Amino acid sequence: MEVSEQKIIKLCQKSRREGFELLFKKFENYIYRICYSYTYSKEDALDIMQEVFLRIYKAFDTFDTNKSLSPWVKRITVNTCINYKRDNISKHSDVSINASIDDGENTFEDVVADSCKTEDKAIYMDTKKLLEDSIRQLPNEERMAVILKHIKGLSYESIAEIMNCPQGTVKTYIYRGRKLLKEKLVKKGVWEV
Amino acid sequence: MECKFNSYIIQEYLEGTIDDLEKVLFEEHMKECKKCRLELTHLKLLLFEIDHLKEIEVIPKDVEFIRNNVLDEIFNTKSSGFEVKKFIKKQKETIALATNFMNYVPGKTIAKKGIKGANSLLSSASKKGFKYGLKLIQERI
Repeated sequence: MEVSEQKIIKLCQKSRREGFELLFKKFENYIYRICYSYTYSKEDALDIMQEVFLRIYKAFDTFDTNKSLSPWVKRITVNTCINYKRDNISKHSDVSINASIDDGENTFEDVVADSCKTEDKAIYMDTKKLLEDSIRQLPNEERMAVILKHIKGLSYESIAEIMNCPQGTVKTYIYRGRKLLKEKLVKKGVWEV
Repeated sequence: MECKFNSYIIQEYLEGTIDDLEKVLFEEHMKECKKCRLELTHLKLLLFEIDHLKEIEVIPKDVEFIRNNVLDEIFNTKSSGFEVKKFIKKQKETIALATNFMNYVPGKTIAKKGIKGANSLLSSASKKGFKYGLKLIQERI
């Protein structure tokens, strides 16, 4: 049985554990999906998620109880992702020429040097993976705007509300993000046009 | 011909938000400009790829673990004395373990007698010392 939002809010106002448990349960899938799309790493997504839960608890006093919980929770999630230190993003996800690519001793450098393995590597690093890697390397605001627009399918208006900035700024973030993504994928030779 | 159209205008063209006049100019320009045609193709391909990136469908069980962990962290730190109780419990466990250990130390019986003997020796010595001290004080008075 689903508990009403008003009941959840009342319980949270009284600082009751059940209230926050219901609140977290209600939004955890949504929060996880945004965090995962932002980091493409389960560990990082869970790490950010923990931070989001704590921020929700700490900031609950500032929540306007006449409004809906959903935009408020989304805003906290988006801000936490954007402020999540780039250094914290899993090191394993960055492709370094000296990094091991197959949990063994073969580095990217070895594979590139060995022409027989290059094809396997190209298959492994397919377009989807390259695109995900490129999204992850975008500047924070551009990354979040692109995710909300293309993966969550939100309008410029909704994104502006969630990111707490004007629509024009959102448009700039998205256009700049796309431009950077396009340049990266062209550089990697994804499209032989 | 010099190219005046940048990536932003091309994206507006793709989204259909470009100004009518600018749209006509851009379409005319594209007939001549290979660079802009390629840019448009690349952006179309990017939008196709990016719109096909699916959201993760399977939510890991760890989410539940994280939720419970956070709730424990929030609501346990609020109840004062929890840490002290935990500490005392740990101390009791340590003492119990040490006692058990002592039961298996070789020569335990001899050590036990020795400790008892030392106790009685100490008590008789302290009694004698006390009596002697009292006697000295009484003499001085």
